[in-house]
Amino acid sequence: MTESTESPQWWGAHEVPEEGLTLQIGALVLLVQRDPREWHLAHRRDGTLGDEAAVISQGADFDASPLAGERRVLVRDAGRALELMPRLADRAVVARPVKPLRLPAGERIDLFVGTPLFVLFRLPAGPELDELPLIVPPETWFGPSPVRGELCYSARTRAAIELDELPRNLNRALTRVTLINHAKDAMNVERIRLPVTRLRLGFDDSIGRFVTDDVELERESDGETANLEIRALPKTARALTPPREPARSAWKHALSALWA
Amino acid sequence: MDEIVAGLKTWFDSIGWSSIVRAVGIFLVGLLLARLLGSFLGRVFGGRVDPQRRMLLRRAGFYPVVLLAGAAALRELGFDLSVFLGAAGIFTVAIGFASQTSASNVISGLFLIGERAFGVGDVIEVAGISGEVLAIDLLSVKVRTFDNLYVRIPNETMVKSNVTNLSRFPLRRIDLVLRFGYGADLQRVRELLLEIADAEPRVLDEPRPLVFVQEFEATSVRLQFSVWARRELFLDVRTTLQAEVHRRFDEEGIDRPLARMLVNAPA
Repeated sequence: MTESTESPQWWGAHEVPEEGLTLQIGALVLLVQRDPREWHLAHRRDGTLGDEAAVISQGADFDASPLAGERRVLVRDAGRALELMPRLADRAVVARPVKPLRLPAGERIDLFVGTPLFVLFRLPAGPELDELPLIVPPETWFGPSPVRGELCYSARTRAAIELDELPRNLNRALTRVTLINHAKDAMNVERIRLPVTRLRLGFDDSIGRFVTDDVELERESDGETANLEIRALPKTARALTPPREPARSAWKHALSALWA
Repeated sequence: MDEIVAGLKTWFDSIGWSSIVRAVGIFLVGLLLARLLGSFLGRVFGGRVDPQRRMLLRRAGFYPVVLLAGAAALRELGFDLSVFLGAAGIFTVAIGFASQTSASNVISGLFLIGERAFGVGDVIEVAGISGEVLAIDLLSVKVRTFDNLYVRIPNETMVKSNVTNLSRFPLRRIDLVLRFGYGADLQRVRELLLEIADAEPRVLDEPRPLVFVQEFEATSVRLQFSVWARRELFLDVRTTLQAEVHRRFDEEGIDRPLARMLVNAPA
């Protein structure tokens, strides 16, 4: 490798030299090489960088160590540039607080929940080539039984109420979740299902983190139903990626469909 | 031979070539209509039903029209169909007595289709055979085993046997039964197994992995380690976990009972 740049901003279009490009984003190492009509991609997950760092280096040594997911993506014209974009997960994420939370009757609280990010490879103004998670998120089942429910990703969360409590992490996006309990009894929160496929992803330069649209979960006074409302991105954030599914601003669920 | 040829010639002359052409035309048009009706039914209702029902719908549209076209063609050739119908009645009674097994299979087939315990494409286990269902027909279910053999199982057997559908639910539980010597620290064993489950992203976080003692045996403790995974990952995840359990337990030096054989050499 001849030249390397350390910068947390790994996304955007990258001019790929003939000898290829290596991008390290946290523990993920991506190798990219181009030919006139194909892109050669590979990755491995043994990077030594911390979760808050990214390094882009010229050159891609495809023979150096065992690689995962080595593939050739064939296109009419590969061009010279490849665009990498962060993206939210392709399934809903069930966030499990490290310690269960309890929200007394009539309370309202803001939490910060981190969810895993994927990286999308595409040609500038062209088709999507591939996608892979920055960290492979564990899978989980969210539903009343193994027969009824939905396959989701699982994320352990500290459910911090102050942003400063959370370390910077380029592998995750932060969602501000507002929990409101209108019922007459306290509410235990062991899991929160976040519909990340319907959220926009952005980057907030003021805090140096990926952020998503804010989400509001409101337990109604009957104690059985809950409303989920998707708000906007924080004002200081610039939008990067649209939602994977058409956004719905609000919808009503049985309480058990949103948290448990 | 000459008599047969002469007879056929007389018959052709009596009905006329135009009738033969008309009969063939009627049959071909009928065949075309049957195909169109079959695919029309398959297309209109196909999106709402499983592949097995789609196939039945297509056949339900195809065969009656072919039968009617055949009857009309024969009529055009001068055959008296009432004779056929009378003969068919007697024939049916004879067939009925001779084919009780087939009739039983047909009725069982209708039950199987109505019950919807499995469909085309599902993986089932029945009477010691496991494989992918290729077709549910009136007499039998056709299964492709995992070693790529074609097995025909009579519907009656299917109705009388326990059938396990491995594709019905999206999740499968993977059970590993492990044996440890009495010298092993069971608490550490439990922690290790849960660590292995947590480190494998394809193992579902919920339902939670489970470790419990099945039995204290004469020379070992038998544990069950159960995790949940997506149905399609069952084999992959099980293989990964087995290898990982072996590796980690070797690393940690966990006592595992080995079969011992005492051999007495004659003096």
